[in-house]
Amino acid sequence: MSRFCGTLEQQYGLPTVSLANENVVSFGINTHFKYSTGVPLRWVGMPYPFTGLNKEMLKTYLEGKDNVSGKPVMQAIIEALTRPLTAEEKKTGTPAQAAPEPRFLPPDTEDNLQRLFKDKHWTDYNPIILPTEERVAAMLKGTSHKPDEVVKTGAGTFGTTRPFTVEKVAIIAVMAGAKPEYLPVILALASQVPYSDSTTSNANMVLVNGPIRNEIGMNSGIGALGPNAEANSVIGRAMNLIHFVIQGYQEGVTGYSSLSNPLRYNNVTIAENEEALPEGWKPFHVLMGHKPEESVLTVLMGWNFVNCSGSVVEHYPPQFLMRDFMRVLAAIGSATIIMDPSVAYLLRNSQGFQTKAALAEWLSDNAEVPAGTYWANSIASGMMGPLAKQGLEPYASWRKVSNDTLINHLPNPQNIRTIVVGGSTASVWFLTDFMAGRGVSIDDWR
Amino acid sequence: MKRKSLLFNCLWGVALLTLCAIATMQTRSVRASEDNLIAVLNPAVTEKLAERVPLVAPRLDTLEGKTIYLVDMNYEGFGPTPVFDEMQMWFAQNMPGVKTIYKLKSGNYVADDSALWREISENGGDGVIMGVAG
Repeated sequence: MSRFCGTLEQQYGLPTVSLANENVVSFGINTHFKYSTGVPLRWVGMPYPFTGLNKEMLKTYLEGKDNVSGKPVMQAIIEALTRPLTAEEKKTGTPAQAAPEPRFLPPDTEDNLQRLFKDKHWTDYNPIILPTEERVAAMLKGTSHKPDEVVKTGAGTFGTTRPFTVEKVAIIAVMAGAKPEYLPVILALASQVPYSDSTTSNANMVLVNGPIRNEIGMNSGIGALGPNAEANSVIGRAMNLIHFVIQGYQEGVTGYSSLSNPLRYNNVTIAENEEALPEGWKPFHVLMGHKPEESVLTVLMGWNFVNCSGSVVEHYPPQFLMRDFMRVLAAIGSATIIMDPSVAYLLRNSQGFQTKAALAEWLSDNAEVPAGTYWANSIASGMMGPLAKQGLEPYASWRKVSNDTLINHLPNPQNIRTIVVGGSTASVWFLTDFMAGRGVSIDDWR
Repeated sequence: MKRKSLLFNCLWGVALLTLCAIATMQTRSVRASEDNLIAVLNPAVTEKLAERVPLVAPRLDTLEGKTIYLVDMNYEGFGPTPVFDEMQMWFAQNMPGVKTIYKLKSGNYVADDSALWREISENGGDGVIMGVAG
């Protein structure tokens, strides 16, 4: 909305007022204006939600107070269009930038520093390892890259300018409790900021493939998704610290995830059990175009994470239950199944799926959801609804049918992926709607 | 007299030794406290402030007799957002001299709609109320 109002103001000379709920307004007039657009738009804030309200409630909103000015909403809207521009709103040029952060913090006691890091929102509120110069120097031995090398510049939310160096990542790695040999993975992870955030409680997943999994002792066997291995735990924690410190994410300031998501505690940090893949089933990174001998990190994002609730039964093949469970996926057209090697074995040898792609094609052809359920998801309606209106298939057809008509809501099998992980002690799986970003080389950060 | 002087000197000596001991302890205490201070590297990243872009569109002296576009950014994808119906009714009842025109932006809520911006400008729009985000 900032972009559109900015265009109308700058290119067409039209006074505008942006109407949004409280958190969007707060973000718009603070972080987004200061660090991203530089345009001092005029905002009026109303309570949330806007949808599903009857006319009386909507009338109450318009008669209520603007969250920005405290004036009645309609009065605030009128004033935003008529009040003369202030000197502040006419300002141009580059604002005085904050002084660069000093390399060291003032020396203090252990307790005070632990408190300082928490007060600054630099932690996940568990104690951190204090990043002394010696520890950071030892950590930097985990990479050949120079400490002052810039990893990325556009690291802030919406890509705002927050340049950070290899040394900053090493500091984070120390804080998280990492060993130097984890640093290339954490650098690759840091290179992927800004991470995906949404008010709608999404989460991220970190997948590691290739030789480095075993070199650093990542657990891809028994208990792989739980808190049972140092490398998995620490790398998942490092992602949160990167998110908070480097990206600058803070709930209520730069992000507003109403419920957030418990998966964020460790960001589902896993390594594929490549050694346990059945014949013909290739590792995740190979299917994404990398060589088997490359070490690759992939960040995935999504909303749904559904447990199959028990192991595979004799009388109902696993792909049938996966198909059934796919009804709940958040309708962004993607699915990622995290399955135990025993499930992969059954699917390959009992059900005839010779490859991951064969399973994806079957699921794409057979997974269905009632059209009404599909469109009830605001992510589907918000993003695909306008495409339906423009006549783009299959969305246009899905929009025309009755609510109870079943549609194949995962039409592209390439967006249905499989990760094999676990210790073959139970034939279990999780169904997720996570979609994969571009895998990045970990080897480049060695 | 000599005995008294000797006693006096002894007392002075004891007092001096005590003072020295206290001073030493204090020094050690300060050093111990300094030794407990830890120097750590700063993880913080400096965020760069954006170049300021001024508002240049003059504000309206009044809305009376003006055309105000209510632009629905189609947040839910199926627009229209009913709050704009209420807003149009509010203007009709409270400021009938304001002409309001409702427009649903094409595409999803992040998609630009340059054709609409042009239309508003060419058709004599005087101001825009855009919403609703969130």
